[in-house]
Amino acid sequence: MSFRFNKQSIEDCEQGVRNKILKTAKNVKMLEEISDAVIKDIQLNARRGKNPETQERFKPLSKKWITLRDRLQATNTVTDVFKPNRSNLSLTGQLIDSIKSKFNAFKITFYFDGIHNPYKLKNIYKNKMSTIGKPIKNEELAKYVQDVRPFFVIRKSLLPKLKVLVLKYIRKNL
Amino acid sequence: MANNEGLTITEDKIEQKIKLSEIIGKDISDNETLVMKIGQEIVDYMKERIENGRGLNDIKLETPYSKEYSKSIDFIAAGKSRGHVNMRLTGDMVDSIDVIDTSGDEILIGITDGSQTAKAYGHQTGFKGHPFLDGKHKRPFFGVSKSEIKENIISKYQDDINETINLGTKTSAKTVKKAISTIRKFKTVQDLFIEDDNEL
Repeated sequence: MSFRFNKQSIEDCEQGVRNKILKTAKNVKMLEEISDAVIKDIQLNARRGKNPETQERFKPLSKKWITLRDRLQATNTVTDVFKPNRSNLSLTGQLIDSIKSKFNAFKITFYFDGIHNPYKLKNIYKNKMSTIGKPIKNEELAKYVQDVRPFFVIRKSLLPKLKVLVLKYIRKNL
Repeated sequence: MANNEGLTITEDKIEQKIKLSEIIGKDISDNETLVMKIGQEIVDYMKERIENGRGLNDIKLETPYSKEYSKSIDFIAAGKSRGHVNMRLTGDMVDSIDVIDTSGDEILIGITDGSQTAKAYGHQTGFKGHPFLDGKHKRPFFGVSKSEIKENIISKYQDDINETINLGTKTSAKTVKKAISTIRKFKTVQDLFIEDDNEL
């Protein structure tokens, strides 16, 4: 998902003001700080089990999946916010931890890096390890998850923080 | 309530007015860009100090966080620890601290997110006026004393200050103030950044 600085928002400004803002908008350090703030916010809300915009809890897990997750915690490194019945996209954290960003002048692109590995499961009858699921690109997995539990959202209430970041760089580059 | 550090702490307003001539002993109001830079430096200093668990007058904030809070999903999800009191969960409160305005050699700083002022008031005053929390868990994180500004910030700008006084440097921040005002008026994230699916 890519975002570009909205030059139309400053269309009506006088030239000097537009230049000041555009100079800031292409500052790579500023874009990096903004993208870090967005990623951290998305990750925090996912771990809390909430839609960042509405703050509604994610759709609950099925009973079958809860039972399986209870077994999975014995054979997988689970996150510190994991509970078998907690719907917060944080069993091993592979998806949420894979969110990255890249940027150049005026533009930030968020993406999901790498592969989500299957979960390990011990077959209690055969005393063997097997896996649940197949390796899948985090980018693909994110699309499925987003449909059911919308977690990749830049909430409106983040705006004051983002504005303060932009203003900091306007002042720093006086 | 205002005091000799220029603080205004109410449920609707968390601000501080700083008059640089009271700290520097000289008037640098003609150098508007320098005043603005110092204002930003004060905000940055305050945020770093808060992150280090310290509040107004560089006094350590009450530690630790309560056991009850430390067991909450919010606390764990944010990766917090009981002994590191930094006034931050989502960061909405502390990250909204900014320079509100500069005028002459006066700098007004404060919490710019209206949804955060009541929360900040609670922390700053220990929930003063609350029926049963009044005075408990007071963490005066906001504000910077004159001595803090003198020791930690003015020294960095001493050369610029001397140049302003000795050479009579004048700068105008009119264009910058207009740029700041433009950004402040943005009402949505889309005013700042719009979706763009073209490849980087």
